Amino acid sequence: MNSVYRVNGPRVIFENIEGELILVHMERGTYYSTDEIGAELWSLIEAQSSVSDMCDVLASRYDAQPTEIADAVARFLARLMEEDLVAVGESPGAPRTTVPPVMGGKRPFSPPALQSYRDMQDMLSLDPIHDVEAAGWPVPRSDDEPSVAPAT
Amino acid sequence: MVDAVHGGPRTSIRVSTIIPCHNGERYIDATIRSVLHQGCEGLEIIVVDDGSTDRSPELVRAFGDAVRYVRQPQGGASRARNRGIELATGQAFAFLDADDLWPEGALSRMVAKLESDPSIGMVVGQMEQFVSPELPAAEHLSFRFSPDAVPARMCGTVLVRRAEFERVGGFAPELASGEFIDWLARAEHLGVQTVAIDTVVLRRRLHLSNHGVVRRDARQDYLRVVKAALDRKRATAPRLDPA
Repeated sequence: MNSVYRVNGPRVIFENIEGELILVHMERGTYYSTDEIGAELWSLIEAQSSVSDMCDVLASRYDAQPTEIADAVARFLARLMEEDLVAVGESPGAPRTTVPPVMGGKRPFSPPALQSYRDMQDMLSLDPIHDVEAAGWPVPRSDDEPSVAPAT
Repeated sequence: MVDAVHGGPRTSIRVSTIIPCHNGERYIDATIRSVLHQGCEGLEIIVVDDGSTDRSPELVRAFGDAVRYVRQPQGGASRARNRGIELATGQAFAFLDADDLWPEGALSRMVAKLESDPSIGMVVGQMEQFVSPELPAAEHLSFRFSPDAVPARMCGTVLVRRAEFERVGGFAPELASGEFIDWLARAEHLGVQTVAIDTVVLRRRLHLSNHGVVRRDARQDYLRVVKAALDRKRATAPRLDPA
């Protein structure tokens, strides 16, 4: 529960566009969209929150049993791992995510879903990947490198 | 598959090839030569110089009347290609980047396919990548790519009928990356009939200043392209779930 995750940059790019979080895995050419709760979890991943902090944040905002939330978070993270969008990171002494006070009542909870699309795979994955630091963007040679997660 | 081009490399569909070029002095000569080697009669070659500050203008002008050269202030590949389209007189359009090559006979194959059936709006060929030969061996190793020919829908692998291109519209000028993906997604959305051929029609050069290598920041544009494509899909089929 205290593990943290990191975004698999730079091969994973993402942005919240008009309220929808869109992600692209540039090497696989797969793209994704997720819902509000998924986007919230993604922000927490970016902030290097621990899994238990993620659950606490969601529990403070959504109306659901802690076990239901923990289960949904674990499944969402597993899905992100499966799609190579995040990796388990190390964050010695990561600060606890502060839970902002909730305005109004708790919102209804539904497990976050990640929709994946592969119809543009051939086109998106054609971006040449180069292993040198040509323009200030590090490309890790392997997945076991220490967290580089550049701010994207 | 189209068999050997009978009757020599003649074309009845007149093709305009549009080559956007920004500081392409290193490879533009080879790129243009690869188009001229297609041997297609009536082939129109338009180079749109996107504000080059290197020797690109003189290298292109050296081809004389064989190549139409126009220049505009730097505005990105989309604007340059759109300008080329405005000038083009052909009945079908092909695109080539100023560092890539067409293998000999590639265009004839595409043209033959397009001519074989008037309902075909666009022909897509295969692409193979190569590391630019002047690069030192160490650089060769640093590119991670497959040297195999792959079916690839990209700007340099398509031949589009003019009417179909006009139906889809030009390239989105605000996109610095992914503008062709965006165009293609729009074409698919409009139901442009696309046929693939298993012929390598593009040799894509990998080098140190490839667009994707240099402009990592421009990759964020892919997200906008993808978002727009998703929105279009949902607008037509709101209940459509992803595969």
